[in-house]
Amino acid sequence: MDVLSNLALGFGVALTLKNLAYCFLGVFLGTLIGVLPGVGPLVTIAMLLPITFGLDPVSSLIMLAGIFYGAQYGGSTTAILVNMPGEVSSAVTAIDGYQMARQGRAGPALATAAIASFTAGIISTLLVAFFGPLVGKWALEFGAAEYFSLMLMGLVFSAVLAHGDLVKSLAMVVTGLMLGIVGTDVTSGLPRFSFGVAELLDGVGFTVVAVGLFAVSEIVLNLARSGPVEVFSKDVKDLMPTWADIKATTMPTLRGTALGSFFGALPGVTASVASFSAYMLEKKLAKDPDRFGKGAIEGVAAPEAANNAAAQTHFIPTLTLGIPATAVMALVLGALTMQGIQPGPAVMTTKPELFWGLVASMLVGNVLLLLLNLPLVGVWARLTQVPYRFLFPAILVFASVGNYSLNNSAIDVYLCAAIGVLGYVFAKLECQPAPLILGYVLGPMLEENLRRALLMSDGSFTVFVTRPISLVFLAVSAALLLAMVLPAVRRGRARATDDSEAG
Amino acid sequence: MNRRSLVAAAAAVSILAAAPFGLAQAQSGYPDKPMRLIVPFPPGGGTDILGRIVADKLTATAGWKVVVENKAGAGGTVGLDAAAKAKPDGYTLVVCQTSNMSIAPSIMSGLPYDPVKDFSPVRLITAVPLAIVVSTNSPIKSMADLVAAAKANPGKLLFASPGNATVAHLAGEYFQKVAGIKYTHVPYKGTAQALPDVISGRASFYVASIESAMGPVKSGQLRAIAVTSAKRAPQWPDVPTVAESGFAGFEAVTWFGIAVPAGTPAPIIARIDAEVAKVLDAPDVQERLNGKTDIGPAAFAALIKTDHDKWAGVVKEAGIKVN
Repeated sequence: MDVLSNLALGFGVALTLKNLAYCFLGVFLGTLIGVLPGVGPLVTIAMLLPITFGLDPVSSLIMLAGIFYGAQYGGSTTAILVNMPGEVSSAVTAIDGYQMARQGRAGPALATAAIASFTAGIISTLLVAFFGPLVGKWALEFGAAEYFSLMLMGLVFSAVLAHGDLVKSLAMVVTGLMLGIVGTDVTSGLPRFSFGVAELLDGVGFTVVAVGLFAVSEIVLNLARSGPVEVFSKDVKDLMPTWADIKATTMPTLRGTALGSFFGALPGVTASVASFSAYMLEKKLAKDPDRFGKGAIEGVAAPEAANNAAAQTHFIPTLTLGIPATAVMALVLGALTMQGIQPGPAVMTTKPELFWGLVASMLVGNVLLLLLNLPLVGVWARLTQVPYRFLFPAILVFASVGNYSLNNSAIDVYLCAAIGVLGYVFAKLECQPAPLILGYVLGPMLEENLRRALLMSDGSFTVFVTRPISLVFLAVSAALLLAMVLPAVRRGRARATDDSEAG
Repeated sequence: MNRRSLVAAAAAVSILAAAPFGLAQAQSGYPDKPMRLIVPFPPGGGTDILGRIVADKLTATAGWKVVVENKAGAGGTVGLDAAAKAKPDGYTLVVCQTSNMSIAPSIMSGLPYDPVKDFSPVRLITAVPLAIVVSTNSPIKSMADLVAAAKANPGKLLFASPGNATVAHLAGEYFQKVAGIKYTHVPYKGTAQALPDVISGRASFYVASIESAMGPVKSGQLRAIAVTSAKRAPQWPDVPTVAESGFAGFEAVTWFGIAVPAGTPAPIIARIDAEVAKVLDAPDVQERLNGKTDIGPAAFAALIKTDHDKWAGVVKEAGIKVN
């Protein structure tokens, strides 16, 4: 078979001692920087870029790619241990991963994150290998109308996320929307809710929101309790997932991989959308959605699988179209261009050793990451046994340094602190942070694409139904809404009759 | 008076006393400490890459220790503001460009600095033309075709740009005015978002930096119909300029340069200018920058002024909203 012989060529490139070493260096660095919030793959790759000009193109690409997907592994570590997402994409992992850590199940949570990432990494890399160019072409079909309908579908899907008080959930979504709106409006170029602060013209950063909402507010909550602070369970249960855990996470991992691979291939979707959708889907499918937010292992496996799958399929538009899906991919693209390599539809035929070498190295890199991360689980898990009075100042210092280093701006640190206070208030009011993040992530994309679609269609709403992909998304949304509303109506009626009988 | 304020007062006096001496020292033994080059954009972008080339080369050729400091935000105005308010002692340099020096005053009412009064321009690093590109499947093959298509269907062509009030956006508005035609502007968040719509033909044409259009043109997904510089771009010798295509005098470029806060002593500006000029003269740097420019302090200041007037006119005529 063609792909297999190509893969053989790729392994021939990836398994040379030199490239193996660069691959290891890349994933090792990636894991390291993934753990630290603020220090992300973007900064690291930007710093390393000048060094890579001396390397041959394949080696440098292998290393840069390793940093990128390695960071997705590392990002979950602090998310699970101390509720501080190391990377944007692992914010969702913090929701249930941290609760598992508190219950003494940090080990299984970390191991599950690593295994889910590994599985997703392998599957999505094979997807890149077999369908890369095809998927790339298909991604070009996504315009503003398609993105709008897709985001709408996501929003409808997440309506089911609203468990508990519907009004509170809606209020949180709206709060998130408002946070997301801050900054310069893409369509009109005018600032909104920036209050004359220049730093706010670019909006409130995701890391600022996530770290404030999760890590900072959690610390305040813990310290606000009277008596000795017992954040983590004293008995650390088994380090590795049990057989039951593995069974429970298999399907979520696969579903997360599918969603992540899909979103990763689209250049117009931000990284956090993939992991968030995967989380929402699992919550929808779970028999007892109430477990989510309280340490559900599926809530760790699915988003981790999704973010790592997306990290691999991001390479599809980058390599086959020359369109970078993220800022990191833009750097990778820049590195290739400077090496005289032109990514585009022809890259697989003109530079087979580059494309297939990268694909093979991603398979190798994921194995390396698993070998690197599993033994570390025990070390990390013990961190939860450090007395909280030492742990919380360290978390705050890391959170502040991380937020400051994003833009070298003190305003980001103040914002994070303010959002931390907001998060504390929300927790006291028993409002969930998840709908807020959802509104924050999806809202601005929904708005921007809606307005662009209408601008391009000269104000005609028919674009959303005349374009087939968009129509499919809208139809699915409508079906979902119906499916959601009908049982509720029926249940409501049933309850009404029950009441009347009882009365 | 308690002890602490006494100590503070003593320290203040000694600093005051030392200041004139320090300045004299700065001029003779300059530079005697690391200097910072503020890059007003995040790591990895075009401005950052240029800044790092200059910083690395200054370290290598002049032996200066130049640290790049990324201070991003609000189209570079946050970083420029920081530079404007820095001590004018020759230890703070900034990479500035068309947008935040010549365009920002026309579109931002609350701009916290004055590009002319608060800075001393030092040297232009490079001036990059914009490219006007269409999908390879598009019937538009030249600027004449573009104008004809726009005339046939006024307001129907979709002009994609990498963002509101970018040089690319203003260049598109400028051309509309020069050619006497009408099309609809569709702003994107950046090149990555715009390219799928342009390649697939959903947007009629795209104006962006030549660097960002280079890849898809080379791989045959886009066709370049013109560049906006006065002369043809060395990277694309076959692509005509807009001026050649029947619009003599049309020019729109994005330039990048080094500036220092106003008040920096003239001898120090001359030192920096001389060293930066040496860096730009190096063959490997010229290769990266696609040729050489020789625009020193006076000419650079004049360029900032002419471009300011030109874009202020375009902003006004196109009715671009001021924030």
